[in-house]
Amino acid sequence: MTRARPFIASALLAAGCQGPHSVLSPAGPAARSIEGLWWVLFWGTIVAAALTIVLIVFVVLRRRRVPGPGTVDARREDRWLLVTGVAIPAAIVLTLLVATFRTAEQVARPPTEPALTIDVVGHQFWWEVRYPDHGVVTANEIHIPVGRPVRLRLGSADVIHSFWVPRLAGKMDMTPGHVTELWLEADSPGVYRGQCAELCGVQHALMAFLVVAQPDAELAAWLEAQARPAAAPVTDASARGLTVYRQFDCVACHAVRGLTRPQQARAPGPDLTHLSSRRTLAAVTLPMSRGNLAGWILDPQAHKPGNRMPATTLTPDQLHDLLAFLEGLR
Amino acid sequence: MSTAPAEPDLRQTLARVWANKPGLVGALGQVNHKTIGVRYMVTALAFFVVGGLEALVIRAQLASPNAGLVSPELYNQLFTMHGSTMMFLFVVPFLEGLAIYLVPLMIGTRDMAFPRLNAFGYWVYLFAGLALHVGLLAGVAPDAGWFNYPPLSGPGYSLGPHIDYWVATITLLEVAALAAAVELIVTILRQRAPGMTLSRMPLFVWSALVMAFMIVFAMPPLVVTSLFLGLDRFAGMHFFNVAAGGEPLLWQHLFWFFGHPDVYIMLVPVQGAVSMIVPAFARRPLAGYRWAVLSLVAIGFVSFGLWVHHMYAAGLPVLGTSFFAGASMMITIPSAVLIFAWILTLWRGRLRLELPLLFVIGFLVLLILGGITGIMLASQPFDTQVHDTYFVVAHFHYVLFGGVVFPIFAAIYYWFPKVTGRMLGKRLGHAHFWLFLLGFNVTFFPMHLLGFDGMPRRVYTYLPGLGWESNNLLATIGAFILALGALAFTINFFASLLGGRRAGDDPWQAGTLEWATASPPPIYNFAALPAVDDLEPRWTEGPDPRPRPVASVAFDAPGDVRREVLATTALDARPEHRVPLPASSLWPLALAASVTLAFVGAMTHLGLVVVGAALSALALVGWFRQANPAPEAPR
Amino acid sequence: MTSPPLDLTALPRGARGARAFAVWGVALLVAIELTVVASMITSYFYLRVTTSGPWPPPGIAPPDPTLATLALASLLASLVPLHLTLRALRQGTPARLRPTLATGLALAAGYVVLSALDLAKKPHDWTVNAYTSIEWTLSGYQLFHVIALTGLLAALTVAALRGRFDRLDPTDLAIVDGALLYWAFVAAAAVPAWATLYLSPRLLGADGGG
Ligand code: HEA
Ligand code: HEA
Ligand code: HEC
Ligand code: CUA
Ligand SMILES: [Cu+2]
Repeated sequence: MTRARPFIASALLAAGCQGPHSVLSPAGPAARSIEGLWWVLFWGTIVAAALTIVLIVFVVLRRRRVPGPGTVDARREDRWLLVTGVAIPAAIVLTLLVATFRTAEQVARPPTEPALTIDVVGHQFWWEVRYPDHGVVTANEIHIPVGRPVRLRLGSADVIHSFWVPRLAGKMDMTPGHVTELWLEADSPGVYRGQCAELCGVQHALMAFLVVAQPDAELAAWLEAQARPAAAPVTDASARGLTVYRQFDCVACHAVRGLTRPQQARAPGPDLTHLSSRRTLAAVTLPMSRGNLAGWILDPQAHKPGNRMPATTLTPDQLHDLLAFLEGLR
Repeated sequence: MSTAPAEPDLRQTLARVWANKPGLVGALGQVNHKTIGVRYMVTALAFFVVGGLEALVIRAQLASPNAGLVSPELYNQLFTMHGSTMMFLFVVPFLEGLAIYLVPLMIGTRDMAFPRLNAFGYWVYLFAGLALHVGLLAGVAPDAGWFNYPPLSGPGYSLGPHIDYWVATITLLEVAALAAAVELIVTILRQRAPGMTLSRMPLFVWSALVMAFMIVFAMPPLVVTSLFLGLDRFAGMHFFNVAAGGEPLLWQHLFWFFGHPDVYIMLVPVQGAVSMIVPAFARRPLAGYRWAVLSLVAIGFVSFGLWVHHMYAAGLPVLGTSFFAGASMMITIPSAVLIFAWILTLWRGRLRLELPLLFVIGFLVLLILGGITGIMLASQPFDTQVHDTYFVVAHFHYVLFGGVVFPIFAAIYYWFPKVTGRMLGKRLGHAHFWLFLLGFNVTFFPMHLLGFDGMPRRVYTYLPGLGWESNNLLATIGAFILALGALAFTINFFASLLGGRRAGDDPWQAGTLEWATASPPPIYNFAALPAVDDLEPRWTEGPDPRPRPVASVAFDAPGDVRREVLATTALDARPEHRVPLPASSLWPLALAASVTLAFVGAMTHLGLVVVGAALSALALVGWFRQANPAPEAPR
Repeated sequence: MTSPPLDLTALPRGARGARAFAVWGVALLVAIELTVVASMITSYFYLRVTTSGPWPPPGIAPPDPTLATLALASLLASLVPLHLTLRALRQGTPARLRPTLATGLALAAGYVVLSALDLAKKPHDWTVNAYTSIEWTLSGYQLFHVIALTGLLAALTVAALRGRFDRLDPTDLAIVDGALLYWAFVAAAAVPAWATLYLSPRLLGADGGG
């Protein structure tokens, strides 16, 4: 069988990912509200649970030492049951519910009206990302402003996926036939890892993405660059590469805006117009590099067994040209 | 003095009247509830080992990042089969078998209301379980998770027979569960010993009744939704196909309308079993019996109003999810009432810390820990963070393994002497308990942390550098400690079966009727049918009870002893009439085989469905013709 | 306990009506099937409210109720022989079971034929869209019910004609009691199924929900 090539964590770290992929180190208001709620839930239940467990251990140890018969006093016992089994748990649970409803309110709507709307469509096993107001189409990498909420409209092209950036917000399913909404806001610039959270097939495991939070000016520059069509090949090698690209039917699945369009209305593969500006390949499976790109194109199944891209057999020259072309897509 | 009618020759006559046919035909035609119950339990334990071995492969694959022990395709089959085996083939059938075995003994009757239906249910269960595993052996097992969401499981995205196995066999299994439920309800409501009013009914019987009613109302929606999926796959329908107006969320609603009650279908009977074990080892009646009954019934009802808490991330309106959050948290109250009733009984009793009680104490601690993570998950904003992560995996193993499997073993240690006449060994039993307690926590506690660290469930591997390595390794080590515990139990089981200490009729001096007959019980259970005047008819009143003889009724007229049971009224168990029961029969096996052909045949050719249905109709005719033997010649 | 044991040796063998185990078993079967029918009808309306645009979807005409209504009438008419069977049982006149069961059989078979014709006449099969899927599934399940009932009534009619019930054996008669309960349920369940399939598209307007 095939194996996923090890993905070196340093690639992510180098890409600027801070800290772990953890729910408990929130980096945005929604995740922070939920983290606050977690501590309420934790203390609210753990104290009751710990006391109960201590009581059990105490009862067992004590009763082994105390000789003589036990006692039965039905009325006192019923009173005790009503206090420990009904009154105290009800009080705790009501407190937890109040905290729950308050947090639900807070995370339901962003603090301010989002200025930017992004459409994300889940595909078996990658993410299509569109900025409808800017004419940007990209994949597996979502750029957002720092300190301001964005609105995400989430959909699916095939099966159910779930969109989740643990450090920024809770998850939201992407169900075919539905458009669900979520808002994201990051406190500070950085790269935050996201991950598909609903089983969607063989490569559910390697369906991740990156959220890049940038100061406004950087984001504006990025949007402008991404909105441009692909630059025509400038070197001979990359011009030949475009031919290879057409010849080996990459066009069937991938759009390169301005140069080629996929043959189907909805592209089955990621948009490659600015491929080389992205940090990773194949939904954060490999860091972007010439070597990985080559390895991916020749045998995608070795890196991500079961993904939807077929292997291509190329001569070394063809590969060289194709890489030159793809690397020109910035 | 009150056991007058049970003279030796009555015993002999009863043994002859109730005897099974000898040989293979006899074995295949067995309908006695004890045989069927034991078959259910043994088969279920075998599936537990299978599911456990699947889990060990899962853990071995996840021990380190980027491991290549199994392919992604196989991994998806493994966790789907692990979950489906544990939920559908181990826990629920085991508990049905336990109830089928124990309920008639606890209520003082000789067999169940529809003995052949019992046998039919068992055969269907066995065939469905085997058919599901044929898929695994052939490498084409179901692979879309135990809740099998379309469209991933639909015809468009799951090619090959994988999901067909799931659809065919799970639907079939529901048929078996429904048969057991009907059986249990009628038996419990109509066959209790004279005097066993509802308020003198042992809590295990109450819990079996609640379980059976939950099955009646929870399983049909699953049958319907898997029928829909089957029609999508086999007949080109579009229930879940968005392109043709279908709706994937329909599956989720129907599945969880079954799935959530299903987890309480598992919990309620073990709560009943624990409510029997605790008084036996605290040497006093359970504190707050009425509150405990009320809690079991409340759990049964409320559990039908919680299903949406599995769909918090589906994007449903906040108002709706808030309602379900409130309802889910309210289930704390009946759970806590039961827990404190047990604690209070232990507190006010004189404890004997035998193995069954040890497992019960393990259960209490683990259920509380799993229960509080349940409460956290019920909080919908928090759930959107940990849904579909290892935090949920930790929650449900705490409640399933700690909250259900631990008490299942408590029940095994407690009732093994009744079933086999021998005690399970203590030394291996203690080894089993401590290995389980240690292994369990080492396996599943780290999964909470993995969930917080963002590790999604159902991933065949993970990349290094995300901080998931050490907790995964720990979990894998724990799983193998658990397996050692299971091994200790397996050895103990067979060694005690062959050479365990003789138990005697009543090794624990317990208060309920199943201990008032021999171990193992004779095929007719009781020679003198008992009459009941108290919840613990074998105990004197008050704390530290002493044994007392059980009263009995004269049922068998001398010279006219038949294969009959006593029907009593539903509420206050007044004697009503005698019910002739059918003898052993091969029709249940024939019907089960025909029904299996119809369901499993759907996978290959729809024509087989028609053949299977026709054969089923024939088998039914044979069944009912046999049901009405001409009355015996008058004495 | 010194009082002599209660003597139950003279209790009657077998019971009839609401006391019989067979009837309890059928009552639970009915509860299960009701839950099935309820789940299907709920699914029908769930699909309706989640479908945007007209219902039935464009290109599919609302179903023609003529044959289905006739079928339903036939099934409901069978409540009369059902009632007469019950009375014959109460009065202990097993000879009268022959005509009543045979009439019931004929009316149930009438439903099967009319309903099969109705399905055969539909201009579309079940593969067009989700509406046609639930339409055929609900109709098919309803038809399956009545086929089962027809088979049951056929078996009972044969038994009655062969004089099986003349013995007035309580176990036999309890099975007839159970069958009557199932019969009543099948007739009753046909009404909401029919209303869902044939009435609701007209009554609730052609608009879907979403
Ligand atoms: C026997 C099985 C069992 C049991 C008993 C429970 C019990 C509970 N479960 Fe669990 N649950 C599962 C089996 C079970 N669950 C399974 C299998 C899944 C996952 C399915 C899947 O996705 O594959 C699941 C998933 C699951 C979810 C969905 C998670 C997700 O997918 O995102 C939720 C959400 O609300 C939930 C909630 C609860 C609650 C509130 C309880 C309550 O009943 C718990 C009540 C008990 C207590 C609270 C402890 C006793 C009380 C005290 C000691 C008093 C003191 C405590 C307080 C005052 C808080 N469960
Ligand atoms: C009652 C239910 C039950 C039980 C008892 C268990 C028991 C175990 N489960 Fe279970 N598990 C589920 C129900 C259960 N599970 C469900 C419903 C799912 C969800 C599936 C899904 O997502 O669809 C799940 C998912 C699940 C996962 C997540 C998979 C994923 O999401 O990718 C994992 C991962 O570690 C796991 C591990 C284990 C382990 C280690 C055990 C251990 O307790 C097993 C203990 C081991 C044994 C019992 C082996 C016995 C062996 C012998 C007796 C022989 C000894 C021989 C040798 C040692 C050679 N389970
Ligand atoms: C049948 C469709 C198909 C064809 C043909 C195809 N691809 Fe792909 N490609 C995909 C899919 C699907 C993915 C996403 C894989 C994943 O991450 O799961 C992908 C991913 C990629 C990626 C990574 C994109 C990213 O942002 O991570 C590159 C680069 C790529 N393909 C290049 C090529 C080239 C070059 C060719 C031609 C030699 C080609 N593809 C042919 C379907 C196709
Ligand atoms: Cu996409 Cu999991
Ligand atoms: Cu639940």
